[in-house]
Amino acid sequence: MNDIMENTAPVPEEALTSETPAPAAPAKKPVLSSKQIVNIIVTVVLCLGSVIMLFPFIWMVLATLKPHTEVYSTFFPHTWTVDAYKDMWESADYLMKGGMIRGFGNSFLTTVPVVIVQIIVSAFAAYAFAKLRFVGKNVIFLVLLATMMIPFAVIMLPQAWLYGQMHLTQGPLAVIIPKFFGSIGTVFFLRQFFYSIPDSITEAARLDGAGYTKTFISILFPLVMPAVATQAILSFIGNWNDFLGPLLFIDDKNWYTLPLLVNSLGGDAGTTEIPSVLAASLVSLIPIIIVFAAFQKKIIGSIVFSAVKG
Amino acid sequence: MQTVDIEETTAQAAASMGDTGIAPVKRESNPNHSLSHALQKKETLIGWLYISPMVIGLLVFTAIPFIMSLMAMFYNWDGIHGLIDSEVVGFKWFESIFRSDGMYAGQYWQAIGNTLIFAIQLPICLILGFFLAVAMNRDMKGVQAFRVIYYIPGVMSVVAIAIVWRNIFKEDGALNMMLISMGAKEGVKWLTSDFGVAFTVNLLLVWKGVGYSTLMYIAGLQSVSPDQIEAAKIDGANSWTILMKITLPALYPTIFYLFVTGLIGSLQMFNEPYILLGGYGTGNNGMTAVSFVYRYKDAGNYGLASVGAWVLAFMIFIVTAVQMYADKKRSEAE
Repeated sequence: MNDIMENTAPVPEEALTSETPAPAAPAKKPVLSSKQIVNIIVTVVLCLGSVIMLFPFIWMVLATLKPHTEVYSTFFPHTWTVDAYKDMWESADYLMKGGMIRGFGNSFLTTVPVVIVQIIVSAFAAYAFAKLRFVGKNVIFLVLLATMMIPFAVIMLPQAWLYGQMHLTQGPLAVIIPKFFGSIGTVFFLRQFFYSIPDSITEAARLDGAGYTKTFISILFPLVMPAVATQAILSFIGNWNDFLGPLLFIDDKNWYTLPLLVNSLGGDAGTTEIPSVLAASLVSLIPIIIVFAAFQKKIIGSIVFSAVKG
Repeated sequence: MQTVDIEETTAQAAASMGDTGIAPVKRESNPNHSLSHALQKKETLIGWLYISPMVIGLLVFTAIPFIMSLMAMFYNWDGIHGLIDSEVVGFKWFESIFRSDGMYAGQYWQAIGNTLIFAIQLPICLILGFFLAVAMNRDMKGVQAFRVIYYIPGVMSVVAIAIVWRNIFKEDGALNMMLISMGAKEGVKWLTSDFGVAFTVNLLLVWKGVGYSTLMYIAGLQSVSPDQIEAAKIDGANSWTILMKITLPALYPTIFYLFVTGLIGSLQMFNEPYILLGGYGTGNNGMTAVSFVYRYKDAGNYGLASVGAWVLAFMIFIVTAVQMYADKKRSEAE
């Protein structure tokens, strides 16, 4: 469903940071070596590309600082104003009691508990699949893997009906409760890490009299903590940005998450409201911007690792 | 590949049990011994306890909906009443899609067609990403920053992004205003005409997705040996030949992986066109296969929507099967 969620695997950060070793320096040294010339050209091209990559964001920020009459006609505002950020609260309030604040609350409610519970449940399962020997393990694991191949489009309709029958769609619970039962992607990811821990460690703990759960919590879980953190970050971004899930499973507008709220604002907006819709979009991105800025190395590293594996 | 993993573990587990000696060895050598039997029983219990949430979740939230969606194809189900209470209509929904005069045939195959049109971004991402990766793999200042910048659109909320794009590309939007101020007679119908929609949606997807391909390639490039490139240089190969004959082949596994996963993702496209166009587009020119499913879910025709979903799923299974076959061939070759 989500690019980030799908493409995850453990993280060697050297894959990111290491670069091709420089070729041997030429014997004679002209003012600029041919390598330097190429570097300059490449840098210029990549800079131009960066402008394209960042342009929509820059345009968005500037548009929120213009009066609505200027939104499309100018790039830099002639008149600077923060009205958009004031109007944003009102128009969101009109759509949903509590407005943007409520939207943030709903988004946190449908994201943070999910991230925490899903990771813990998945970690226990990953540990069982990696380290315990029990009847039916391989069969269940293969069945779980097979379910990853089922497209969401196939099961989303009966799921919507089922959640309705369970009275989950009137609130936010339909996008929370089902995710409490773990994520097979996370299990698969964490299982690799549990494999890499020598069995001698767990055996030693168990000989000291620690039970399975105690061994797991006090010894194994701390060892895979970096992997768990990576998964938590990716899961946060994936759940925060999720659109189709909440669209299908949240019936009551008062429980709309930020993406749904912003989409509704955008859908109903007249021309005069465009700056405030864009302001709401920008504000809805703030948690993602913070998480990405803080953890970009981990996030990018985790993507890169799946390539090394594949 | 997964099967191998499991076998490996079992072997590993057995081996390490041999190392540590004591209780596990007893259990290995004498499975009927009462103590080790009890231990094994306990481990089975604990194991099932730990995976029980996954198993329950699988049964309730995947297996039941899976079976229901299979059945729904043959029912006139409105998604309000129970499935079993609904009227059985046989192959009515199949006929409405597969017969050329079927009521929904035109719309469904248009949706499939649109989905494939919106997959044009995939080869573009793969080619563009390759050159970006080679550029960003150079030994020069700022490559780290470029890697991050090109990936930013990929992590941002699709809703926020699509709303910005809508305001840039709509008929009286920022881009057309600029074109007109530069002398164009009238704006381009980026979000309404068939070509405009195909172009804009693909552009959005390339913009959003190219950073991911680039990062994957950069990781793949670590496997290219510098010695091999040195040797080729000594043999007088130019940079382009080296790129095409050494670098590119080293990335074949990455390209294949990106293509297959990208295609599976692309076939399930929904968010970008739906939000960008605020629905299904002019004359449904932005409706994808998943949009079709969503639309008839909304319209209370779960039977038709399920058939639409399963036809799509069938296509995805074919792609997956081809991938598995190719993976098997490759691992056999190695």
